[in-house]
Amino acid sequence: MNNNFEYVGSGNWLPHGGPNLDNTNGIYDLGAQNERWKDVYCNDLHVTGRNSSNCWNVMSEITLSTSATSIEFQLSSEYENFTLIFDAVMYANATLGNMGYITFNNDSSASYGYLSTVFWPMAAPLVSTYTSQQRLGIYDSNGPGNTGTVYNVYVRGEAYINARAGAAKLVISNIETDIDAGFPVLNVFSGIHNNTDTVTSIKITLSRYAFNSGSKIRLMGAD
Amino acid sequence: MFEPLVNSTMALDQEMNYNFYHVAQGSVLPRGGTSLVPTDSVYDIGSSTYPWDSVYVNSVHCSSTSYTGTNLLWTKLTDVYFSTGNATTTTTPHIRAEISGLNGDNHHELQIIARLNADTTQTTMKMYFNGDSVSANYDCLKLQNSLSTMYGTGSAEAPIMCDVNTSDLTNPSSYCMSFLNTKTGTYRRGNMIRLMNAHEGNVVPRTIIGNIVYKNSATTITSLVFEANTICAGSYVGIWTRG
Repeated sequence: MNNNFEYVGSGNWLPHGGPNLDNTNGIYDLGAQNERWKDVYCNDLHVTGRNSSNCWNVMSEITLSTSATSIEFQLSSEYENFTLIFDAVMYANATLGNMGYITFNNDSSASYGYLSTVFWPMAAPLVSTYTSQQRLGIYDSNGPGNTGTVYNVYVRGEAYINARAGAAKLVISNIETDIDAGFPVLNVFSGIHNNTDTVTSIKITLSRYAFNSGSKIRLMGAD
Repeated sequence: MFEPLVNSTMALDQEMNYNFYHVAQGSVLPRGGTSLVPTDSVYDIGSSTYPWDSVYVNSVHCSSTSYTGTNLLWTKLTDVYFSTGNATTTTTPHIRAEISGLNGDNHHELQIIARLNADTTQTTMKMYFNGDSVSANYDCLKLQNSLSTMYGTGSAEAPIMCDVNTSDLTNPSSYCMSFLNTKTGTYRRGNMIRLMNAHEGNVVPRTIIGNIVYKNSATTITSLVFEANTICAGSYVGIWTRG
């Protein structure tokens, strides 16, 4: 009897099931929808899935083991707000340039017309039209001394996305690029995708070359 | 079913097993009373003196947004959806939403995500501290872009929010991501990036970087007010904090 009490009451507290109270994995809950624990005190909290407690959630994090010209995140949760966090390195060529694009639902600009913004207080043209230039703010610098040479540029920053279903998708990016390439640039950028579909994927594509091995890109989501 | 043991009464082995199952099998609920019935928001997991070392779970569902510790999670304090909005009222009183219950010392790092839908009227979603629109109490300095154009000294409104500023628009909207430091005893500072004039009309949308210096450092920030001439259905303001 004492051993049984020690089994359920001492040491690491594990989820038990079955007539022998065996350890289980990912089956049982702590608390329930209508029977909640009040506070949780712990040193470390390890969550492999979603934290629905009004937090920004890491939806996916990719660290490339090989180079890639595009990265697509499939979305299983219907968040409205997203943040893409870049800590990446990409090939660039000062002659040809390199540009990052964002695409929703792996669709072309035919369905997702994109309207670029101008940066205040730059003089604005009177008329703008939707184009296929779905820019994200990742951009090589055409830095001096690299003309015609493929070289590495570092990219760090965030892109904020409001992807509400039923409304145009709005993007703001704040990205440093060409770090250590001799001509670092801060790109602050925003734009509008005029498709009102529910977003099921977010894809980043480079116009030329690729993200290098070791690039890390994280997608965060929030209600 | 839990079977309380009774003095001088023999307990069956099955009853004893059921009692173990009741407290240790399956989902673990917070229980109390002599019959160990489930309770809601009464008992804790661990305590401040005796915390568990690590908690491993697949998903976390908490109804509170209170987090302490060093994880610096951004957690949402509250948000406002303008589900019906007001597409026609362009005169005062302006459409207004106040997020109260803040404590600028506890919530001194704020993240504001806002999306403003407006009608065909020029409008700016302004932000006021503590619901006070008396300019002398606020002294907001507005810094804009690298030119550091400073204007509006003594203004009450913080240029931290969305705006659309033209006519001939169809369903204009704007989007902004702002960060504020609201700690008492120092100037309040904020920076924001906003996309204005997001619409399908014929005026080019713009990207704006703006900063704010709010020279009133004495008054504790207890609320933020968001106000615009028109706030249409679909507009949204979310307030997040961390630390």
